[in-house]
Amino acid sequence: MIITLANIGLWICIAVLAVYTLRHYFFTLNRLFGTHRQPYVDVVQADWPLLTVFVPAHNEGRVIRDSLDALLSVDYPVDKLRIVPIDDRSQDDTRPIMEEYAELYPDRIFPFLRDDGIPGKAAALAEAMSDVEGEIYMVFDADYIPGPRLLKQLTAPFFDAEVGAVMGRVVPLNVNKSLLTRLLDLERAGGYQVDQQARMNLRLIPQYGGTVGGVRRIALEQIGGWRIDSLAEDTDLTVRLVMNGWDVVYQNRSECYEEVPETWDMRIRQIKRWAKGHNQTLVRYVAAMISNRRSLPWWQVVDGVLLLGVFLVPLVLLMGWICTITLFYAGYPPQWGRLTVLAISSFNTVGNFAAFFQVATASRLDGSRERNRMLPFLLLGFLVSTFSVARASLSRASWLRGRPVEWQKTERYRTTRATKRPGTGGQGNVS
Amino acid sequence: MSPDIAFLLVLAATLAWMAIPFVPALLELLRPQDASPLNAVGQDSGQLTYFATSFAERMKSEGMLGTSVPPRLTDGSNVVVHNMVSPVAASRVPIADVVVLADDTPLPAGLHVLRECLARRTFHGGANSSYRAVLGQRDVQLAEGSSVLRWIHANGRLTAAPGTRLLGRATSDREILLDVDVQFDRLDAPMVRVGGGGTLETPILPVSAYMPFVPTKAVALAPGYWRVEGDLEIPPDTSVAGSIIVRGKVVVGEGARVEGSIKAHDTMHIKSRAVVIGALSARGRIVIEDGARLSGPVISESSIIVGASVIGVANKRTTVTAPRVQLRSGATVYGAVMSADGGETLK
Repeated sequence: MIITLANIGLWICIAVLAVYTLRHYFFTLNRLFGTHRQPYVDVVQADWPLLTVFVPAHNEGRVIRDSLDALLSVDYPVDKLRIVPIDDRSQDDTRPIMEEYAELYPDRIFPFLRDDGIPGKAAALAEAMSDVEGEIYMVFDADYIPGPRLLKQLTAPFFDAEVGAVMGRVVPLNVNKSLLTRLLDLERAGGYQVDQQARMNLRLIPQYGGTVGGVRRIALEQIGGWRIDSLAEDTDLTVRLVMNGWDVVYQNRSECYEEVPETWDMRIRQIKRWAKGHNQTLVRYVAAMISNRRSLPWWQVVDGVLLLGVFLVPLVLLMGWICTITLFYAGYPPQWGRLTVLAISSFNTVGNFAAFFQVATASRLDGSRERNRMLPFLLLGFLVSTFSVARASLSRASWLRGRPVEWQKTERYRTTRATKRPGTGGQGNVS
Repeated sequence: MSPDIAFLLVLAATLAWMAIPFVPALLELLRPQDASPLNAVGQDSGQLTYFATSFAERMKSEGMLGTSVPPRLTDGSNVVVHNMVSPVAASRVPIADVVVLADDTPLPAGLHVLRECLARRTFHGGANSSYRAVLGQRDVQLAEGSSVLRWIHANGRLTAAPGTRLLGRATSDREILLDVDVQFDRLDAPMVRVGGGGTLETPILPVSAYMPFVPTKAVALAPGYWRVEGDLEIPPDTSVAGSIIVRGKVVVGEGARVEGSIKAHDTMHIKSRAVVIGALSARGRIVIEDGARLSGPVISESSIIVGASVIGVANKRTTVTAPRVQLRSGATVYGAVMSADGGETLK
């Protein structure tokens, strides 16, 4: 009985992993040899729409000044831009800083201060958005430092009437802090430069990531606004937009700096949170996605299902390993012996390294080949992520529904200012 | 050899083999060569005058705008001064120095300048000449067969004669006037106009002057947003309120008016005298006939052909962008024309 189950389980795992392996290679080859699709990047002049930028914050006193200063320095028309920093019951000096900026820039900065209600980023955004106007809503986490052209670049796709949300590229700022930050730098490159852009090229489903991006107000309202009971409100939003007929667009040239976790503990917490949130979204929407009542193209349905299931892959991988070992030590040859051995070898070599190939390609496309020397260390990040995500996927929180969430934050490390306040002179140094 | 020793040797050899890639990895970790944040947040993208502005600031700091022009720049580059007293002679040998045009004296034909040109007054280029980059503090006139390889900026009017190639960025603070048979990549000015003839500016009538039209196959996506399966033809002299997303081809009939944006999954055809108060985007080709009037932006993933029509408004600049753009005589664009794979002007 156990042997039969292990056999069946192994073949299922191999099939799932083969699909994701092919996906990785397909995306990577697309980026290497396919057409780079970026139809909106050259929109430099326009009658820009009314834009509201939200900066949700909870105890972000160390970083929020940089973010606000950067937003004040962008080239978006001043009369069309409102900056709304949201303080959700911070205990540090986040709120006084916001108030200080509101006094200095009363026509540009409009803080939204929360002391009660459901805590969390999604709830804070939902409440703040109900209180402001604007055709386009953009969200930046408090540690993000947008460049001067970023808002126009991210707004340009909304001239396409079908675009519901836009996502820009996130670039780590604190790369040289530790081995982990260097690995995360590589991972981010692979995720954005290859994965997201390939999905954009192939008209699949680029993912809105909840920051460095925007959403069309009317689309957001049509799909029912932010879900406040989701750990991954960004993935949730992406899926709902696509299923309701809106496009999600990725802009690879719209880059913004962020801080990545510098400690493994923080990284593990972050990735477990992502896994739980993603799995919640999988449970919510996979059936609707497959039933496809909205007549999505079949390729978007396939990509949507694979996107939703991506955080189950480590669990599947571990199950595959367990099945393999079980069969080996039980002394039973697997069914279709040679074929199985070939399949196991494939997913343990070619399959597992698909992601590495993707990262290496991203570094090459970014023109930073020296970074690729660090690739072998990705094995460490791969194993940590595999076990963390698998553990998160087995937790109850991954499959719970309808529970409001609280603030889930990544620790900030910045100790010096990354930008200077507009009008104070001098070039900001990036610390 | 005992099996244990053989096993250990194989194990050691395997580990050593696996460790090989970690050697450069460890070296990079201990002595980082490439550990700074990706230089991704560019200053030049989106601001077409970036290089011209930087060059102007440099020329100012080098004293090139004063009464006497220094013979060389601080980086050692030589400076050639061209004026009525000492004009640059016609030569087949390329000029490898920075050229400062001190007055309105025309440059000779057939000149090839490998460095930047700074024109302190009106720039009169000679025929069949090539320049790396040109900054004109007043008007810039490029003669027939000229080529600009990187960028050109005129603080006044920029005019390009037939056969001109404007590679890279061409900008003006006032207007760009292109003759037919001009190739370009990226243009940006308060007004870009092709040909000497006028442009038929269709008057924008009030909405009540049109017959309302609601597409029969339209599904409301959100308030003011319609989605149409298949193709859509908006009948002549009718008006549509709201933005339309069409999963096929779109034809906006003669004299029709759309109060919103249009998206087509296939091609788009804007017929004569049609008015669109919104943006156009299509995966296929967009053809804009003579006399149409659009507020823009106009975005195609394939190509755009603009007839003698008007895109944008004088005080609200816009963008026309596609891999290939053709501007026909009489086309007027208030703003930028961006053509990644090359644009051209035609009769």
